[in-house]
Amino acid sequence: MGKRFVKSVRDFFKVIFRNRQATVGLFILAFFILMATVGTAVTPLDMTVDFANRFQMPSAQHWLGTDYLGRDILAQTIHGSRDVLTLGAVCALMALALGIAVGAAGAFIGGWVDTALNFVTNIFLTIPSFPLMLILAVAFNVQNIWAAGFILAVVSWGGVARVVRGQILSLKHAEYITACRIMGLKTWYIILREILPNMVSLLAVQFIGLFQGGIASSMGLMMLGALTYRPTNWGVMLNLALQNTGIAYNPKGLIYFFTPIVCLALLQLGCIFFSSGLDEALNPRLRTE
Amino acid sequence: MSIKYLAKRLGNALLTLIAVTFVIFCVLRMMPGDILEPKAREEAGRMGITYEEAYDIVASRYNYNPHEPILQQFTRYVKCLLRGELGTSMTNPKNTVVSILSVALPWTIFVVSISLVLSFVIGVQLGAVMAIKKKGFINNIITFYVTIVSTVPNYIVAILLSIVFVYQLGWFPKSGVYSIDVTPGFNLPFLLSALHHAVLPIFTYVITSTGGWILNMKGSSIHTLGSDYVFAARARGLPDSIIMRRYMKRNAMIPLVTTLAMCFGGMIGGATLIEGQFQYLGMGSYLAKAQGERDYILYQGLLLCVSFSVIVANLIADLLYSKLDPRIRLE
Amino acid sequence: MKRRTIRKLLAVILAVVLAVLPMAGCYGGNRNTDIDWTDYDYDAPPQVNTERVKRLAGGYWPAPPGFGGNLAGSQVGDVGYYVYESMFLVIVGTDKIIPRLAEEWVHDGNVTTVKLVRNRFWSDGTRFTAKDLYAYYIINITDAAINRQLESIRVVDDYTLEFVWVEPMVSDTQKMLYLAEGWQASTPYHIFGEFVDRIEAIMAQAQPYTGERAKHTAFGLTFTKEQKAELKTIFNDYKNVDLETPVGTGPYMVEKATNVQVNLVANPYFPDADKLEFQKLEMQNVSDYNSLLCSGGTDTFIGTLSYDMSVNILEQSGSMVMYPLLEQKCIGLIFNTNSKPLDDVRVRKALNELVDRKTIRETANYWAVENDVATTGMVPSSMEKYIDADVLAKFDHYTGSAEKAAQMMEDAGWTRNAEGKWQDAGGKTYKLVIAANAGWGAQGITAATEIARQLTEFGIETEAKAAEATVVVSNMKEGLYDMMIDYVDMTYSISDPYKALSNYYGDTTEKAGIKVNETPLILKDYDGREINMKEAVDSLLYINNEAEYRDLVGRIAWATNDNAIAINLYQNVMCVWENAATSKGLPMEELFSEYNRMMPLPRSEEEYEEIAVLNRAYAPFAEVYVRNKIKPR
Repeated sequence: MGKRFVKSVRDFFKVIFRNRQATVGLFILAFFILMATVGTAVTPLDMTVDFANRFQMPSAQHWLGTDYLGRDILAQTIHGSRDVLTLGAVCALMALALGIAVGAAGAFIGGWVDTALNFVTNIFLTIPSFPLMLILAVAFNVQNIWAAGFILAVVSWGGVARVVRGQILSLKHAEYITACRIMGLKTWYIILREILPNMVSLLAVQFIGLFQGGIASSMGLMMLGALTYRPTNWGVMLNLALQNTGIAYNPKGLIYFFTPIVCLALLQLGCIFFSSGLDEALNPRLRTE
Repeated sequence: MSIKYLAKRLGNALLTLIAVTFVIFCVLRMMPGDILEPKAREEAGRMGITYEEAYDIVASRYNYNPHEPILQQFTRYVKCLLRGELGTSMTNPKNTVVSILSVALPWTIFVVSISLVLSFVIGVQLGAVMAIKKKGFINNIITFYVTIVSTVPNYIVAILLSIVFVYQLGWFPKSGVYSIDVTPGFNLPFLLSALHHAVLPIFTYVITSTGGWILNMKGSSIHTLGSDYVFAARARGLPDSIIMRRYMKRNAMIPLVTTLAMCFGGMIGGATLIEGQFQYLGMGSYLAKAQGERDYILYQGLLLCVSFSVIVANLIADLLYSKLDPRIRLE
Repeated sequence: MKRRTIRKLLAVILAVVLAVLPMAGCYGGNRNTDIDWTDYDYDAPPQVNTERVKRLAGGYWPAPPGFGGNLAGSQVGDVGYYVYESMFLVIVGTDKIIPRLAEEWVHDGNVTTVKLVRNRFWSDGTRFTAKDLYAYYIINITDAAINRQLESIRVVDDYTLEFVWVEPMVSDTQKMLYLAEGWQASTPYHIFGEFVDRIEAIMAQAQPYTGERAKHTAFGLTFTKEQKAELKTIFNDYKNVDLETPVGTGPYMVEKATNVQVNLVANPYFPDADKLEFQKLEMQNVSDYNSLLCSGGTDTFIGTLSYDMSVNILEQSGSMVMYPLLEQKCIGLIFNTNSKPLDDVRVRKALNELVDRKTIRETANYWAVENDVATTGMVPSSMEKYIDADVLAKFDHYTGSAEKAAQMMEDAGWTRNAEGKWQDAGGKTYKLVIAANAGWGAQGITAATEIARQLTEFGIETEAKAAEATVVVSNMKEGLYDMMIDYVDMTYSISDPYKALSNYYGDTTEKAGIKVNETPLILKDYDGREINMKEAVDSLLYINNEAEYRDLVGRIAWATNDNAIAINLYQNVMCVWENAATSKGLPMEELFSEYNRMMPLPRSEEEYEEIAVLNRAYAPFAEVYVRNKIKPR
């Protein structure tokens, strides 16, 4: 059993490393994970306001220069990464899990269960998220990142459920699934082993969307007071840059403005690249090249 | 079967609409906080009176009683809905939901439909190309583009576009849906002015939403490429272009077409941030305003309209889906 | 292979162009920096702005279909500053009273007689008379604050109004301030007359009021429940009157309105309307005022931007001028006096000592003016004017020294534990929360974060939370937070201490968890004499003797400061921007080059007034345009 597991993991990485895009993606993701774990431990964060030294250009002391209040941009970015990664991932994973569960259940069980689940999904898709978030934030008195991720997931799972349901409905009747059925395999086994791997690229797109949405909404949660306000959060950094630098009109502030954007872009680039490799690793039929 | 199916779907949609009406109503009433508080501060500043006086004035002007039992409020609301009245603003008798819809909805539909079609067409083309030509220069460029536009928040794109084309080059107007100097109606200056004002919002929508379509199409196409009939076609030695056009695209587009229908429904709500940046006041802006001012009656009326369009769009998507994918008809 | 290289090259070029375009676009602003703005002929007809248009950036008005002429229906917004008038207007900050519709006024016993200007017309051509003003007070019978101080209002003739005050009368100063309150000429009798008649009918049936003076009702009338309901119905009917555009007596009237722009033109019925230097006002809303000002695309803007943005605007536009002006509002940190350990006044004072106000000011609003008192209930800039110097010297002052704060904590029985965190006498450490209004930007959450950092560094763990505008205050009043960033020591209108103090003992104290209306708050003044704060503040209203007034104000402010339920961080500054490329005769023109158009705070009352009138919230009714001192260039 253990051997098989090791082998499949090794196979997995073999496939990933064979694909250049996927390799790059993996490295980018690894870089960010290192940044959030080791990076935060190594770099001290000093948020002391130093008004006289604001908007410094990059130097040995401040690799990315300083922000509008004279604080090191690099240190803020590094410390922000943990928030962004955990919250984005927690929110995206929870929403995915919720969405897949509801979508798959509906599509496979069918009948009134499907109708009922569809009904609930539709309602969640139509309720505006702001009032819902405000109510949830007050009702749950959020104290940690998990609860915050949960709120965001509750607000955003609807789309996933819909996509998953649609995809399963169309896959349900594919030849190989029919074959599995005839072989008498259990439904959950079919879902996990045959259908989900086929949906990886689709789910990856959803994941990236949710991740992005999670980061954007986490700022909303901070503004609702559900999360402690942290100026190092990349979304908040971007917002502060917009409010304080004057964007294109202040060349000195451009580094501060672009750092969070570039980081977010890189992070998502990593996700996209990695997911395309993942797709091939899990979908043997795509590997022929 | 077809009629039964249709009836079932319709019934379902109607039920959803009723439920959503109820949920929206409850959610808005459950929202915590004192809606008069910020209003009173604003009023106190403008009129130069004390906060407490301003609070009384604002309270007396609100035609909303927060202490009325919620069930009673709801029955009153439903009665109005059945009479075809969507409601009137809590403060401003001129702001009825219908009158706001009449000034906001046309502009949103105008901009949304054009940009949605444009981005869909471009996205599907590029996505298909990306799926077929997995390696190569074009793929890299598109990936680069998609990454940039899908990761940079769309309002940042709107901000940069407006700085360049509005404030520096002065090619496009600063705000609004048409110039104050033209008279609305079917006349050339008005139409030109309306087009002129819509260019940048449409451009922003297209730039930022094409990426999603490309990724969707690519994912869906890759999946289609993995199926056996495409293998068979390849084995027969058919060129990429024919495989793309005849074998892959139609099947790969099925999930996308339904998404398109849903997107259209969802976009009736407008993109608040893009609309905000260009002050292109459509549904998004009025919704945001109603939300900001906690004008519940206005807010729920506008939301109801948005929900209605979402539900209708979903219905259409459902029907389309079963039409486009023969396998679904087995249900 | 070659084709591919070319394609690559093209793509790179395209990318570079796309990247450079935004930058390139931005640094080509119109630089007029070398021009000597003072060298021109003031009396010459306009050369640049020949249309005599003033473009006003920013403002609130309901977007059509909501826009209209009914003030009570919230249909007018900031447009009202230009179309309406009152008997008097008060310049905020100096409390100078300027008559507009009033010509003469006399206080004689409990009657104040106001003679109105003759030959004034509404913008629809109807003659303006005393009856129109009378209509304002009757229609707003419960809302107009002055009504509660009055026995009655009498229309003597078309141009004379008599206000009869209730005994004991409010002081003469307060009378004038009451008479200047509100947008009075906003209810023309020929349009809204029927509501006046309906309300008068109810007034005739009402019973006279017999309760205590402090809660005196409007015109001394007590309404039954049915009568109140009827009044509400009348008000609703009044609110539903459909007017296309506002009808006022002011210098301008609405020509056209869309959701992003309102055009106002000179009201032809205003005296000497054709001689107004600016014949047209264009109020425009955009989303990005920074870019708008950088491109010099507007003539007036009211708003404070970050320091670096402001410097950029001045440089890029080459013609914008920035005037900072003290607001009658301070931003402070209010303590929840019901939560431990902030219920201890010694801890509150220690925190007052600790907080480094300079850094917070730099973080929040660069131009603001720091204070060194805790909180006095009065606007700091008015303290010298209303409190004697020897009393002022008795106030506690704070220096922002961490050592001194640590000493104060120790005096209060606190010690530092092994990790350097403060613990109280019982060995308990605390974790505090500062809340801020999420919509306040730098002044709210950024400042809160900085204060939290300072407290945490000091050894009291603190975190900042933003909260939505509608919940933040009610949450604070319910005691959900330990501290909150909000306005303190402020007035919404004039700087007379009564207004500020009455706002403080009510609104601010409630946020601090003290309900002055339910349990009397008794504090000691500098002589150790006990004062019932709420009663003392209320009594200010009736004191006519100036020395007595100053003495009581000094005692109240001192006791308030000693109780330290808040930290007054800084007195806020609001900036006004003017465009020297399109207007001439701007204030302080001779100083433009010396200060690079980033002007200092006004140095005298005259300068203050010149700048205050530029801001409609400081001097409404288009006072600046009526003065005709600023002209189109």
